Amino acid sequence: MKIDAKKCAGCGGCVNLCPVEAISFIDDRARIDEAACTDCGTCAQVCGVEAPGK
Amino acid sequence: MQKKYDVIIAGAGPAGLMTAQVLGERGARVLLVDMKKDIARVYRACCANLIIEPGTHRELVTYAGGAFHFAENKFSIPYGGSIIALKRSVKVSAGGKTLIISGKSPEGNVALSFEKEILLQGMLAKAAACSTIEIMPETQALRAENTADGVAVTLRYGGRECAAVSRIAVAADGVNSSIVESLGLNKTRRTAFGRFMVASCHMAGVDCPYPESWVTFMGKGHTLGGRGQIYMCPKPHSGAKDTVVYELTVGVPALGPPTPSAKQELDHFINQGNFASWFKHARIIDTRAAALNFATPLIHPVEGNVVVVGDAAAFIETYVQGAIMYGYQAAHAIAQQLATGSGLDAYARSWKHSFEYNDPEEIKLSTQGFGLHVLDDGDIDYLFGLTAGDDIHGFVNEFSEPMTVRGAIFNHMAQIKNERPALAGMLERFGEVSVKDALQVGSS
Ligand SMILES: Cc1cc2nc3c(=O)[nH]c(=O)nc-3n(C[C@H](O)[C@H](O)[C@H](O)COP(=O)(O)OP(=O)(O)OC[C@H]3O[C@@H](n4cnc5c(N)ncnc54)[C@H](O)[C@@H]3O)c2cc1C
Ligand code: SF4
Ligand code: SF4
Repeated sequence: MKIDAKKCAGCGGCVNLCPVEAISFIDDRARIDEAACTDCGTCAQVCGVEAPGK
Repeated sequence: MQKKYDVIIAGAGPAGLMTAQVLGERGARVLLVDMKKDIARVYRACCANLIIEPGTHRELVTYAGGAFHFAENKFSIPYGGSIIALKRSVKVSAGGKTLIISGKSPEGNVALSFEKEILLQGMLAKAAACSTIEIMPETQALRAENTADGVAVTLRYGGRECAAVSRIAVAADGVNSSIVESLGLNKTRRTAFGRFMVASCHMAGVDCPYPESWVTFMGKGHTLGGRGQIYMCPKPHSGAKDTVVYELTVGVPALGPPTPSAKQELDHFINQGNFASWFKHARIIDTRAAALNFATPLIHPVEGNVVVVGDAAAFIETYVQGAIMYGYQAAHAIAQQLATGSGLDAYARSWKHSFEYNDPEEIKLSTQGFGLHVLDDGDIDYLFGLTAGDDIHGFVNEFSEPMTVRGAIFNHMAQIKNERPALAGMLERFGEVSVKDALQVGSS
């Protein structure tokens, strides 16, 4: 999963919900470490502004 | 072992900032971390209304002379922004009928709309001015572990992990707290309420026919997916002083595609919704979001040397004022604990006693009112229509407002029984509406 930084509102919601701590908060936007991401889909499910995607 | 910090606070929202401020004043050495770069900026959706109903969290919070005053806890915090007094709570059905609640405070208000960013700026400046508080922005708290004489908190800073130790740690990292999860405390909580996603935007140029009001759009016909909650209210906005700014907020269960996302619902409501005409001249200033697991509160907010404060111990409903109040109470309890070896229990007791959702009966009461959401739009139109001209008074407060709405409708029960007996029967069964149905997280 990747996060489109232009769409991300910076709410931080997905950061704490990622089960494997793959999301960092950099420059007030969420960013996924693709090596750690298991593609579980949680961030995409909960993001209100559709920022995470393939 | 001598520790560099007495207290590490994870999260510098209203709860963490207040905890830090009071501990700093009492001489504790504090490390305050937040993952945001600009800690006072608000990117997360929050309607930022001050709930002025006496008894909310067993407190009465008021605004006067540039400060918020907490009467029972006997403290005040400065707020340098503007206030918009909300005179009415207006519920709008899909067909445009309204149920209007007028303010019950001595000034005739239902709530006070404030600018959260200005409040946080003031609180951050105060913490930053204290010589015993060290503030680390851009630092994510990952985990906490209790040790024999303190806590080790794992932090992520600049892509690297490091551990910091203290005698006590505070989880103030908000709803879905990483610290709470890492301690395994979520296993004791029920998450039956489901997951929600929120999108909101601030807009100038809205032609809202209900000024100075907290507007709630009720019924399935406001959304594409037939679920969710939509709110709108005027917000003081220092970025756009010469015009009235409205914040429109949409929250929907996070069910994944094909269910529309909060952003899709927000766009739909503005462009094609039943009240799209209000937004013809609107200009969007900014967009915010929120993502949350609605779990029942953490009934015992202390685990070893970790104290859980604000939304980290609940879902979003400690409110800004509750996060501040619990931060204040927790800080005094922690200072006591540091000095005497006991004190945290007093905080746990006060949380249990004052946070409404710790009482299952309160959850039931608020969902009985939410039960309106399960009615068909035609029924809501009809019921709101009955209340036209009624003099209804109350507050914007999700612990009491549902009962105000219920009372207003039940006043017309004789007529409803006469005209729509089946609907009357449904209304009388509202006490049995499950939390799941009320929040529409199940399948429809
Ligand atoms: C849609 C919506 C509407 C709302 N409306 C109102 C309202 O009208 N009135 C009202 O009073 N309240 C309202 N609230 C609730 C209010 O926003 C919260 O109750 C309040 O902000 C809680 O404060 P807190 O300090 O506990 O948590 P938060 O405000 O969530 O602060 C948590 C802080 O921790 C930081 N953080 C999070 N995770 C980490 C981590 N892992 N590491 C480091 N830092 C982290 C965040 O950046 C943030 O600064 C609303 C909330 C939502 C979602
Ligand atoms: S939930 Fe969405 S908006 Fe919020 S931080 Fe994650 S990607 Fe950004
Ligand atoms: S898909 Fe799952 S594992 Fe990957 S970043 Fe999103 S929440 Fe984390």
